[in-house]
Amino acid sequence: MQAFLCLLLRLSERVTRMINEPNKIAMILSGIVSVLLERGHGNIDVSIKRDDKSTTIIIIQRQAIYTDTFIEWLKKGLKPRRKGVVEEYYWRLADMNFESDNLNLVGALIDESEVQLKDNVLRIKVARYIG
Amino acid sequence: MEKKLTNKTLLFILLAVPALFLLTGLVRAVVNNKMPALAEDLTRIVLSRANLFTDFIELGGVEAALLNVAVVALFNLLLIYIYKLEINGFTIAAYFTVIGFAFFGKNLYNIFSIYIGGHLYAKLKRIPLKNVIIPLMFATALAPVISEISFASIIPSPLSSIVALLVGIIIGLIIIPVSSHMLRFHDGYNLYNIGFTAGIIGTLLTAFLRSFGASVEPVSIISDSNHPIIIWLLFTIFTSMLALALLINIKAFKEYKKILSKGGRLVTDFTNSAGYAATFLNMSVMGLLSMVYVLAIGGVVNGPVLAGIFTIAGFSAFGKHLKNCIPVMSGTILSALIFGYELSETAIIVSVLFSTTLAPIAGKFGLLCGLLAGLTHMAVVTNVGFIHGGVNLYNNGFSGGIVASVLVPIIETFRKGDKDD
Repeated sequence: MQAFLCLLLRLSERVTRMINEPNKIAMILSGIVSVLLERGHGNIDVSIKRDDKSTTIIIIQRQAIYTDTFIEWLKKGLKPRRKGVVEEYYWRLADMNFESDNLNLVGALIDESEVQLKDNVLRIKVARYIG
Repeated sequence: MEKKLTNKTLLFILLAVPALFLLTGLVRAVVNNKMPALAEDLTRIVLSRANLFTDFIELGGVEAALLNVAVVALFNLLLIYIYKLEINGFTIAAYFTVIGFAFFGKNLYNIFSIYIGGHLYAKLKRIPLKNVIIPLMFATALAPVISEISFASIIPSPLSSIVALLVGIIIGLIIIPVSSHMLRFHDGYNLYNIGFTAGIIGTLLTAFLRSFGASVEPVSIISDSNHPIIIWLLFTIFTSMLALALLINIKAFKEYKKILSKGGRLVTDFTNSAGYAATFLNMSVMGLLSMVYVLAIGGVVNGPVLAGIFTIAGFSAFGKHLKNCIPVMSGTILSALIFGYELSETAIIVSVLFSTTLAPIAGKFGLLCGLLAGLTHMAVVTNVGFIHGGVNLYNNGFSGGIVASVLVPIIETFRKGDKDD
Protein backbone atom coordinates (compact mmCIF):
# COMPACT_ATOMS: atom_id res chain seq x y z
CA MET A 1 0.00 0.00 0.00
CA GLN A 2 2.78 2.39 1.04
CA ALA A 3 4.82 1.53 -2.05
CA PHE A 4 1.80 2.11 -4.27
CA LEU A 5 1.19 5.50 -2.64
CA CYS A 6 4.83 6.46 -3.11
CA LEU A 7 4.69 5.43 -6.76
CA LEU A 8 1.52 7.43 -7.27
CA LEU A 9 3.04 10.53 -5.66
CA ARG A 10 6.26 10.24 -7.69
CA LEU A 11 4.20 9.88 -10.85
CA SER A 12 2.11 12.94 -10.02
CA GLU A 13 5.30 14.88 -9.25
CA ARG A 14 6.79 13.90 -12.62
CA VAL A 15 3.58 14.85 -14.43
CA THR A 16 3.44 18.21 -12.61
CA ARG A 17 7.06 18.91 -13.54
CA MET A 18 6.43 17.88 -17.13
CA ILE A 19 3.47 20.23 -17.35
CA ASN A 20 4.93 23.12 -15.37
CA GLU A 21 8.32 23.38 -17.05
CA PRO A 22 7.02 24.07 -20.60
CA ASN A 23 4.43 26.39 -19.07
CA LYS A 24 7.15 28.35 -17.31
CA ILE A 25 9.09 28.66 -20.58
CA ALA A 26 5.91 29.88 -22.27
CA MET A 27 5.39 32.39 -19.44
CA ILE A 28 8.93 33.76 -19.84
CA LEU A 29 8.44 34.15 -23.59
CA SER A 30 5.00 35.66 -23.25
CA GLY A 31 6.23 38.02 -20.54
CA ILE A 32 8.99 39.45 -22.72
CA VAL A 33 7.06 39.51 -26.00
CA SER A 34 4.05 41.21 -24.40
CA VAL A 35 6.32 44.05 -23.23
CA LEU A 36 7.63 44.52 -26.78
CA LEU A 37 4.15 44.38 -28.28
CA GLU A 38 2.86 46.84 -25.65
CA ARG A 39 5.32 49.33 -27.10
CA GLY A 40 3.56 49.00 -30.44
CA HIS A 41 6.34 47.25 -32.36
CA GLY A 42 6.16 44.06 -34.38
CA ASN A 43 8.88 42.33 -36.42
CA ILE A 44 9.68 39.85 -33.71
CA ASP A 45 11.42 36.52 -34.37
CA VAL A 46 11.64 33.93 -31.65
CA SER A 47 13.88 30.90 -31.37
CA ILE A 48 13.70 28.34 -28.56
CA LYS A 49 16.35 25.68 -28.04
CA ARG A 50 16.11 22.96 -25.45
CA ASP A 51 18.58 20.35 -24.29
CA ASP A 52 19.01 18.24 -21.15
CA LYS A 53 20.52 21.09 -19.16
CA SER A 54 18.68 24.22 -20.17
CA THR A 55 16.22 26.04 -22.38
CA THR A 56 17.43 29.08 -24.30
CA ILE A 57 15.12 31.68 -25.80
CA ILE A 58 16.39 34.20 -28.34
CA ILE A 59 14.12 37.06 -29.31
CA ILE A 60 15.14 39.34 -32.17
CA GLN A 61 13.22 42.46 -33.04
CA ARG A 62 14.12 44.44 -36.13
CA GLN A 63 13.37 48.11 -36.66
CA ALA A 64 13.43 48.48 -32.92
CA ILE A 65 13.57 52.09 -31.86
CA TYR A 66 13.86 52.28 -28.11
CA THR A 67 15.25 54.81 -25.66
CA ASP A 68 18.26 54.01 -23.50
CA THR A 69 15.97 54.25 -20.46
CA PHE A 70 13.76 51.46 -21.82
CA ILE A 71 16.76 49.25 -22.57
CA GLU A 72 18.09 49.83 -19.05
CA TRP A 73 14.66 49.01 -17.66
CA LEU A 74 14.59 45.79 -19.69
CA LYS A 75 18.04 44.84 -18.46
CA LYS A 76 17.07 45.53 -14.86
CA GLY A 77 13.81 43.58 -15.14
CA LEU A 78 15.49 40.63 -16.83
CA LYS A 79 18.39 40.49 -14.42
CA PRO A 80 18.54 36.80 -13.48
CA ARG A 81 17.52 36.28 -9.89
CA ARG A 82 15.97 32.88 -9.79
CA LYS A 83 14.34 32.88 -6.40
CA GLY A 84 12.76 29.65 -5.33
CA VAL A 85 10.11 31.34 -3.20
CA VAL A 86 8.81 33.62 -5.92
CA GLU A 87 9.15 31.00 -8.66
CA GLU A 88 7.33 28.34 -6.69
CA TYR A 89 4.37 30.50 -5.95
CA TYR A 90 3.97 33.44 -8.35
CA TRP A 91 5.22 32.09 -11.69
CA ARG A 92 1.72 32.03 -13.14
CA LEU A 93 1.70 35.84 -13.16
CA ALA A 94 4.97 36.14 -15.10
CA ASP A 95 3.31 36.81 -18.44
CA MET A 96 1.40 39.83 -17.16
CA ASN A 97 3.83 42.67 -17.58
CA PHE A 98 1.44 45.52 -17.81
CA GLU A 99 3.11 46.96 -14.79
CA SER A 100 6.84 47.51 -14.73
CA ASP A 101 7.55 45.53 -11.58
CA ASN A 102 6.17 42.34 -13.02
CA LEU A 103 9.02 41.93 -15.47
CA ASN A 104 10.91 41.08 -12.31
CA LEU A 105 8.88 37.88 -12.23
CA VAL A 106 10.44 36.87 -15.52
CA GLY A 107 13.80 37.64 -13.94
CA ALA A 108 12.86 35.30 -11.10
CA LEU A 109 12.41 32.44 -13.59
CA ILE A 110 15.69 32.72 -15.51
CA ASP A 111 19.37 31.99 -14.90
CA GLU A 112 20.99 33.99 -17.71
CA SER A 113 20.04 37.06 -19.71
CA GLU A 114 21.48 39.37 -22.36
CA VAL A 115 19.82 42.48 -23.74
CA GLN A 116 21.45 44.29 -26.65
CA LEU A 117 20.28 47.06 -28.98
CA LYS A 118 22.52 47.61 -32.00
CA ASP A 119 21.65 49.25 -35.33
CA ASN A 120 17.95 49.22 -34.44
CA VAL A 121 18.01 45.46 -33.85
CA LEU A 122 17.04 44.37 -30.37
CA ARG A 123 18.40 40.98 -29.29
CA ILE A 124 17.25 39.40 -26.06
CA LYS A 125 18.67 36.08 -24.95
CA VAL A 126 17.50 34.34 -21.80
CA ALA A 127 18.26 30.88 -20.47
CA ARG A 128 16.65 28.75 -17.81
CA TYR A 129 18.51 25.79 -16.37
CA ILE A 130 16.64 22.57 -15.79
CA GLY A 131 16.47 21.20 -12.28
CA MET B 1 22.54 56.86 0.34
CA GLU B 2 20.92 53.90 2.07
CA LYS B 3 22.95 51.98 4.62
CA LYS B 4 23.35 48.35 3.66
CA LEU B 5 21.42 46.03 5.93
CA THR B 6 22.48 42.42 6.35
CA ASN B 7 19.91 39.68 6.73
CA LYS B 8 21.04 39.35 10.36
CA THR B 9 20.30 43.02 11.06
CA LEU B 10 16.90 42.66 9.44
CA LEU B 11 16.21 39.60 11.58
CA PHE B 12 16.94 41.65 14.71
CA ILE B 13 14.58 44.36 13.47
CA LEU B 14 11.82 41.77 13.01
CA LEU B 15 12.65 40.25 16.39
CA ALA B 16 11.98 43.57 18.12
CA VAL B 17 8.19 43.24 17.74
CA PRO B 18 7.67 39.86 19.51
CA ALA B 19 10.36 40.80 22.04
CA LEU B 20 8.40 43.93 22.91
CA PHE B 21 5.17 41.94 23.22
CA LEU B 22 6.78 39.22 25.32
CA LEU B 23 8.37 41.70 27.69
CA THR B 24 5.20 43.79 28.02
CA GLY B 25 3.04 40.70 28.57
CA LEU B 26 5.31 39.32 31.29
CA VAL B 27 5.87 42.67 33.06
CA ARG B 28 2.14 43.38 33.06
CA ALA B 29 1.37 39.91 34.38
CA VAL B 30 3.82 40.44 37.26
CA VAL B 31 2.66 44.00 38.03
CA ASN B 32 -1.04 43.09 37.88
CA ASN B 33 -0.44 39.86 39.79
CA LYS B 34 -1.74 37.76 36.93
CA MET B 35 1.17 35.33 36.74
CA PRO B 36 -0.69 32.49 38.49
CA ALA B 37 -3.58 32.73 36.02
CA LEU B 38 -1.43 33.24 32.94
CA ALA B 39 -1.08 29.56 32.06
CA GLU B 40 -4.82 29.12 32.41
CA ASP B 41 -5.49 32.15 30.18
CA LEU B 42 -3.10 30.85 27.54
CA THR B 43 -4.74 27.41 27.69
CA ARG B 44 -8.12 29.06 27.10
CA ILE B 45 -6.70 30.64 23.94
CA VAL B 46 -5.20 27.40 22.68
CA LEU B 47 -8.32 25.34 23.42
CA SER B 48 -10.70 27.82 21.76
CA ARG B 49 -12.43 27.11 18.45
CA ALA B 50 -10.62 30.20 17.18
CA ASN B 51 -12.93 30.91 14.25
CA LEU B 52 -14.11 34.36 13.19
CA PHE B 53 -14.30 36.44 15.45
CA THR B 54 -12.48 35.02 18.45
CA ASP B 55 -10.58 37.90 19.96
CA PHE B 56 -7.79 36.51 22.13
CA ILE B 57 -7.63 39.77 24.11
CA GLU B 58 -11.21 39.17 25.22
CA LEU B 59 -10.77 35.42 25.65
CA GLY B 60 -7.49 35.32 27.56
CA GLY B 61 -6.77 38.91 28.55
CA VAL B 62 -4.13 41.33 27.26
CA GLU B 63 -1.18 39.52 28.88
CA ALA B 64 -2.01 36.06 27.51
CA ALA B 65 -2.83 37.52 24.08
CA LEU B 66 0.54 39.30 23.96
CA LEU B 67 2.34 36.10 24.95
CA ASN B 68 0.46 34.11 22.30
CA VAL B 69 1.47 36.66 19.66
CA ALA B 70 5.09 36.57 20.84
CA VAL B 71 5.22 32.75 20.74
CA VAL B 72 3.65 32.51 17.27
CA ALA B 73 5.88 35.29 15.90
CA LEU B 74 9.04 33.79 17.41
CA PHE B 75 8.21 30.38 15.94
CA ASN B 76 7.87 31.89 12.47
CA LEU B 77 10.97 34.01 12.92
CA LEU B 78 12.87 30.88 13.91
CA LEU B 79 11.84 29.27 10.62
CA ILE B 80 12.98 32.37 8.74
CA TYR B 81 16.32 32.16 10.57
CA ILE B 82 16.87 28.40 10.26
CA TYR B 83 16.04 28.26 6.57
CA LYS B 84 17.97 31.48 5.85
CA LEU B 85 15.07 33.15 4.09
CA GLU B 86 15.74 36.44 2.41
CA ILE B 87 13.94 39.20 4.29
CA ASN B 88 12.15 41.03 1.50
CA GLY B 89 8.68 42.50 1.05
CA PHE B 90 7.06 39.08 0.73
CA THR B 91 8.63 37.86 3.99
CA ILE B 92 7.75 41.05 5.88
CA ALA B 93 4.12 40.89 4.67
CA ALA B 94 3.75 37.27 5.79
CA TYR B 95 5.45 37.86 9.14
CA PHE B 96 3.32 40.89 10.07
CA THR B 97 0.15 39.14 8.92
CA VAL B 98 0.94 36.21 11.21
CA ILE B 99 1.63 38.61 14.09
CA GLY B 100 -1.69 40.37 13.55
CA PHE B 101 -3.71 37.18 13.32
CA ALA B 102 -2.13 35.74 16.46
CA PHE B 103 -4.33 38.30 18.25
CA PHE B 104 -7.36 36.51 16.89
CA GLY B 105 -7.34 33.00 15.55
CA LYS B 106 -3.79 31.69 15.34
CA ASN B 107 -1.89 29.85 18.02
CA LEU B 108 0.95 27.37 17.98
CA TYR B 109 -1.40 24.39 18.28
CA ASN B 110 -3.56 25.21 15.30
CA ILE B 111 -0.82 26.36 12.90
CA PHE B 112 1.77 23.65 13.51
CA SER B 113 0.22 20.83 11.44
CA ILE B 114 -0.09 23.13 8.41
CA TYR B 115 3.71 23.52 8.44
CA ILE B 116 4.08 19.72 8.66
CA GLY B 117 1.88 19.43 5.56
CA GLY B 118 4.03 22.02 3.81
CA HIS B 119 7.16 20.09 4.76
CA LEU B 120 5.63 16.98 3.22
CA TYR B 121 4.75 18.94 0.07
CA ALA B 122 8.35 20.14 -0.27
CA LYS B 123 9.63 16.58 0.22
CA LEU B 124 7.27 15.16 -2.39
CA LYS B 125 8.08 17.90 -4.88
CA ARG B 126 11.79 17.60 -4.06
CA ILE B 127 12.13 21.32 -3.50
CA PRO B 128 13.75 23.03 -0.53
CA LEU B 129 11.36 23.77 2.33
CA LYS B 130 12.56 27.39 2.30
CA ASN B 131 10.71 27.84 -1.02
CA VAL B 132 7.36 27.24 0.61
CA ILE B 133 7.67 28.66 4.14
CA ILE B 134 6.29 32.11 3.30
CA PRO B 135 3.17 30.79 1.50
CA LEU B 136 2.72 28.43 4.47
CA MET B 137 2.80 31.38 6.86
CA PHE B 138 -0.13 32.82 4.94
CA ALA B 139 -1.80 29.41 4.74
CA THR B 140 -2.31 29.42 8.49
CA ALA B 141 -5.44 31.40 7.61
CA LEU B 142 -7.16 28.03 7.89
CA ALA B 143 -5.88 27.39 11.41
CA PRO B 144 -9.41 27.58 12.88
CA VAL B 145 -10.32 24.41 10.95
CA ILE B 146 -7.87 22.53 13.17
CA SER B 147 -9.28 24.12 16.33
CA GLU B 148 -12.85 23.58 15.17
CA ILE B 149 -12.30 19.84 14.59
CA SER B 150 -10.32 19.48 17.81
CA PHE B 151 -12.58 21.32 20.22
CA ALA B 152 -16.08 21.67 18.77
CA SER B 153 -17.20 18.16 19.88
CA ILE B 154 -17.85 17.05 16.30
CA ILE B 155 -15.66 13.96 16.81
CA PRO B 156 -15.02 12.37 20.21
CA SER B 157 -11.72 13.20 21.88
CA PRO B 158 -8.85 12.19 21.50
CA LEU B 159 -9.72 11.04 17.96
CA SER B 160 -10.68 14.64 17.20
CA SER B 161 -7.10 15.84 17.72
CA ILE B 162 -5.73 13.14 15.39
CA VAL B 163 -8.27 14.00 12.68
CA ALA B 164 -7.52 17.72 13.15
CA LEU B 165 -3.81 17.04 12.80
CA LEU B 166 -4.41 15.10 9.58
CA VAL B 167 -6.63 17.83 8.17
CA GLY B 168 -3.95 20.42 9.00
CA ILE B 169 -1.37 18.32 7.19
CA ILE B 170 -3.65 17.99 4.14
CA ILE B 171 -4.19 21.77 4.13
CA GLY B 172 -0.41 22.34 4.16
CA LEU B 173 0.01 19.75 1.44
CA ILE B 174 -2.49 21.21 -1.01
CA ILE B 175 -2.66 24.93 -0.38
CA ILE B 176 0.45 25.99 -2.29
CA PRO B 177 -0.42 24.49 -5.69
CA VAL B 178 -4.07 25.48 -5.28
CA SER B 179 -3.34 29.07 -4.27
CA SER B 180 -0.70 29.47 -6.95
CA HIS B 181 -3.32 28.42 -9.48
CA MET B 182 -5.90 30.82 -7.99
CA LEU B 183 -3.66 33.78 -8.86
CA ARG B 184 -5.01 33.66 -12.39
CA PHE B 185 -8.54 34.07 -11.10
CA HIS B 186 -7.90 37.68 -10.11
CA ASP B 187 -4.62 38.23 -12.01
CA GLY B 188 -2.81 39.47 -8.91
CA TYR B 189 -5.26 42.28 -8.11
CA ASN B 190 -6.21 40.68 -4.78
CA LEU B 191 -3.21 40.95 -2.48
CA TYR B 192 -4.50 38.34 -0.02
CA ASN B 193 -4.45 35.55 -2.57
CA ILE B 194 -4.21 32.81 0.06
CA GLY B 195 -7.24 34.37 1.74
CA PHE B 196 -9.17 33.73 -1.43
CA THR B 197 -7.84 30.17 -1.69
CA ALA B 198 -8.49 29.55 2.00
CA GLY B 199 -12.05 30.76 1.46
CA ILE B 200 -12.58 28.17 -1.26
CA ILE B 201 -10.93 25.33 0.70
CA GLY B 202 -12.68 26.45 3.90
CA THR B 203 -16.03 26.35 2.10
CA LEU B 204 -15.33 22.76 1.02
CA LEU B 205 -14.24 21.68 4.50
CA THR B 206 -17.18 23.40 6.17
CA ALA B 207 -19.55 21.73 3.72
CA PHE B 208 -18.11 18.36 4.77
CA LEU B 209 -18.35 19.20 8.47
CA ARG B 210 -21.93 20.40 8.06
CA SER B 211 -22.75 17.20 6.15
CA PHE B 212 -21.72 15.31 9.29
CA GLY B 213 -24.25 17.37 11.20
CA ALA B 214 -21.75 19.78 12.75
CA SER B 215 -22.76 23.36 13.29
CA VAL B 216 -19.94 25.53 11.95
CA GLU B 217 -20.91 29.15 12.47
CA PRO B 218 -18.99 32.38 12.95
CA VAL B 219 -18.84 33.53 16.58
CA SER B 220 -18.49 36.92 18.20
CA ILE B 221 -16.11 37.01 21.14
CA ILE B 222 -14.82 40.56 20.86
CA SER B 223 -13.25 42.94 23.33
CA ASP B 224 -15.38 46.10 23.46
CA SER B 225 -13.05 48.40 25.34
CA ASN B 226 -9.73 49.92 24.42
CA HIS B 227 -6.58 48.91 26.29
CA PRO B 228 -4.19 51.89 26.46
CA ILE B 229 -1.17 49.57 26.59
CA ILE B 230 -2.07 48.09 23.19
CA ILE B 231 -2.39 51.55 21.66
CA TRP B 232 0.94 52.60 23.16
CA LEU B 233 2.59 49.46 21.82
CA LEU B 234 1.29 50.16 18.34
CA PHE B 235 2.39 53.77 18.54
CA THR B 236 5.85 52.69 19.72
CA ILE B 237 6.25 50.14 16.91
CA PHE B 238 5.20 52.46 14.11
CA THR B 239 7.10 55.53 15.31
CA SER B 240 10.18 53.34 15.81
CA MET B 241 9.83 52.26 12.20
CA LEU B 242 9.84 55.89 11.14
CA ALA B 243 13.00 56.54 13.18
CA LEU B 244 14.57 53.38 11.77
CA ALA B 245 13.78 54.47 8.21
CA LEU B 246 15.53 57.81 8.75
CA LEU B 247 18.44 56.10 10.46
CA ILE B 248 18.95 53.82 7.46
CA ASN B 249 18.56 56.63 4.97
CA ILE B 250 18.09 60.25 5.93
CA LYS B 251 16.61 60.81 2.45
CA ALA B 252 13.99 58.10 2.93
CA PHE B 253 11.18 60.52 1.99
CA LYS B 254 12.78 61.02 -1.42
CA GLU B 255 12.81 57.26 -2.05
CA TYR B 256 9.26 57.09 -0.73
CA LYS B 257 8.07 58.73 -3.97
CA LYS B 258 9.14 55.56 -5.80
CA ILE B 259 6.73 53.55 -3.67
CA LEU B 260 3.85 55.96 -4.35
CA SER B 261 4.43 55.58 -8.08
CA LYS B 262 3.78 51.82 -8.00
CA GLY B 263 0.40 50.28 -8.75
CA GLY B 264 0.94 47.56 -6.18
CA ARG B 265 -0.24 44.52 -8.09
CA LEU B 266 1.30 41.17 -7.17
CA VAL B 267 4.34 40.96 -7.13
CA THR B 268 5.48 44.43 -6.04
CA ASP B 269 8.29 44.20 -3.53
CA PHE B 270 9.08 47.67 -2.21
CA THR B 271 12.32 46.52 -0.55
CA ASN B 272 13.55 45.68 -4.03
CA SER B 273 12.31 48.75 -5.88
CA ALA B 274 12.69 51.48 -3.24
CA GLY B 275 14.93 50.07 -0.52
CA TYR B 276 14.38 49.22 3.14
CA ALA B 277 14.30 52.82 4.43
CA ALA B 278 11.40 53.83 2.19
CA THR B 279 9.68 50.52 2.93
CA PHE B 280 9.87 50.99 6.71
CA LEU B 281 8.70 54.57 6.22
CA ASN B 282 5.71 53.36 4.22
CA MET B 283 4.92 50.73 6.86
CA SER B 284 5.08 53.37 9.55
CA VAL B 285 2.82 55.79 7.66
CA MET B 286 0.25 53.09 6.84
CA GLY B 287 0.31 51.62 10.36
CA LEU B 288 -0.19 55.01 11.99
CA LEU B 289 -2.89 55.98 9.50
CA SER B 290 -4.83 52.79 10.23
CA MET B 291 -4.51 53.29 13.97
CA VAL B 292 -5.58 56.94 13.79
CA TYR B 293 -8.57 56.01 11.60
CA VAL B 294 -9.79 53.42 14.13
CA LEU B 295 -9.42 55.78 17.08
CA ALA B 296 -10.91 58.75 15.19
CA ILE B 297 -14.18 56.93 14.46
CA GLY B 298 -14.40 55.76 18.07
CA GLY B 299 -13.47 52.14 17.34
CA VAL B 300 -11.85 49.64 19.66
CA VAL B 301 -8.33 48.41 18.97
CA ASN B 302 -9.09 44.74 19.75
CA GLY B 303 -7.78 41.47 18.27
CA PRO B 304 -9.46 41.61 14.85
CA VAL B 305 -8.60 45.30 14.44
CA LEU B 306 -4.98 44.62 15.41
CA ALA B 307 -4.90 41.91 12.75
CA GLY B 308 -6.10 44.50 10.24
CA ILE B 309 -3.54 47.10 11.29
CA PHE B 310 -0.60 44.67 11.28
CA THR B 311 -1.62 43.21 7.94
CA ILE B 312 -1.78 46.68 6.38
CA ALA B 313 1.64 47.48 7.85
CA GLY B 314 3.08 44.20 6.56
CA PHE B 315 1.67 44.57 3.08
CA SER B 316 3.05 48.10 2.99
CA ALA B 317 6.27 46.31 2.11
CA PHE B 318 4.51 44.39 -0.62
CA GLY B 319 2.09 46.53 -2.60
CA LYS B 320 0.14 48.90 -0.35
CA HIS B 321 0.65 52.62 0.05
CA LEU B 322 -1.37 55.76 0.70
CA LYS B 323 -2.28 56.40 -2.92
CA ASN B 324 -3.70 52.96 -3.68
CA CYS B 325 -5.27 52.27 -0.27
CA ILE B 326 -7.19 55.46 0.45
CA PRO B 327 -9.57 55.21 -2.57
CA VAL B 328 -10.51 51.62 -1.68
CA MET B 329 -10.94 52.40 2.01
CA SER B 330 -13.04 55.44 1.12
CA GLY B 331 -15.27 53.30 -1.11
CA THR B 332 -15.77 50.80 1.72
CA ILE B 333 -16.57 53.56 4.21
CA LEU B 334 -19.03 55.12 1.76
CA SER B 335 -20.64 51.74 1.21
CA ALA B 336 -20.97 51.17 4.98
CA LEU B 337 -22.69 54.54 5.33
CA ILE B 338 -25.07 53.78 2.43
CA PHE B 339 -25.99 50.40 3.94
CA GLY B 340 -26.49 52.01 7.33
CA TYR B 341 -23.69 50.23 9.19
CA GLU B 342 -22.08 51.72 12.26
CA LEU B 343 -18.50 52.68 11.30
CA SER B 344 -17.18 52.01 14.79
CA GLU B 345 -18.39 48.38 14.82
CA THR B 346 -15.47 45.95 14.84
CA ALA B 347 -16.74 43.97 11.82
CA ILE B 348 -17.01 47.17 9.78
CA ILE B 349 -13.62 48.53 10.89
CA VAL B 350 -12.06 45.22 9.93
CA SER B 351 -13.76 45.29 6.52
CA VAL B 352 -12.48 48.82 5.90
CA LEU B 353 -8.91 47.95 6.90
CA PHE B 354 -8.77 44.67 4.99
CA SER B 355 -10.49 46.12 1.92
CA THR B 356 -6.99 47.33 1.05
CA THR B 357 -6.46 43.84 -0.35
CA LEU B 358 -7.92 45.50 -3.47
CA ALA B 359 -5.45 48.40 -3.41
CA PRO B 360 -3.89 47.33 -6.75
CA ILE B 361 -7.17 48.11 -8.50
CA ALA B 362 -6.90 51.75 -7.40
CA GLY B 363 -3.17 51.69 -8.12
CA LYS B 364 -3.64 50.47 -11.64
CA PHE B 365 -7.01 51.91 -12.74
CA GLY B 366 -7.29 55.05 -10.60
CA LEU B 367 -9.39 56.66 -7.93
CA LEU B 368 -12.88 55.91 -9.27
CA CYS B 369 -12.18 52.22 -9.84
CA GLY B 370 -10.69 52.06 -6.36
CA LEU B 371 -13.85 53.58 -4.91
CA LEU B 372 -15.98 51.11 -6.88
CA ALA B 373 -13.87 48.20 -5.62
CA GLY B 374 -14.32 49.38 -2.03
CA LEU B 375 -18.07 49.84 -2.48
CA THR B 376 -18.45 46.33 -3.90
CA HIS B 377 -16.15 44.78 -1.32
CA MET B 378 -18.28 45.90 1.62
CA ALA B 379 -21.39 44.32 0.11
CA VAL B 380 -19.60 41.03 -0.57
CA VAL B 381 -17.52 40.67 2.58
CA THR B 382 -20.48 41.04 4.91
CA ASN B 383 -22.18 38.12 3.16
CA VAL B 384 -19.51 35.50 2.53
CA GLY B 385 -18.44 34.65 6.10
CA PHE B 386 -21.35 32.24 6.52
CA ILE B 387 -20.29 30.13 3.53
CA HIS B 388 -17.12 28.94 5.23
CA GLY B 389 -18.51 29.25 8.73
CA GLY B 390 -15.72 31.56 9.83
CA VAL B 391 -12.95 28.96 9.47
CA ASN B 392 -11.07 31.19 7.01
CA LEU B 393 -9.49 34.00 8.99
CA TYR B 394 -8.79 35.98 5.80
CA ASN B 395 -12.45 36.45 4.96
CA ASN B 396 -11.66 39.76 3.28
CA GLY B 397 -9.15 38.01 1.02
CA PHE B 398 -11.91 35.63 -0.02
CA SER B 399 -14.23 38.53 -0.76
CA GLY B 400 -11.40 40.48 -2.44
CA GLY B 401 -10.77 37.60 -4.83
CA ILE B 402 -14.43 37.51 -5.84
CA VAL B 403 -14.61 41.30 -6.29
CA ALA B 404 -11.34 41.55 -8.25
CA SER B 405 -12.17 38.67 -10.55
CA VAL B 406 -15.46 40.34 -11.54
CA LEU B 407 -14.41 43.99 -11.57
CA VAL B 408 -11.02 43.75 -13.29
CA PRO B 409 -12.24 42.20 -16.57
CA ILE B 410 -15.08 44.73 -16.71
CA ILE B 411 -12.75 47.66 -16.11
CA GLU B 412 -10.21 46.34 -18.60
CA THR B 413 -12.88 45.79 -21.24
CA PHE B 414 -14.09 49.37 -21.02
CA ARG B 415 -10.56 50.72 -20.96
CA LYS B 416 -9.66 48.69 -24.02
CA GLY B 417 -12.87 49.89 -25.68
CA ASP B 418 -11.77 53.46 -25.09
CA LYS B 419 -8.39 52.74 -26.60
CA ASP B 420 -9.85 51.08 -29.71
CA ASP B 421 -12.04 54.06 -30.43
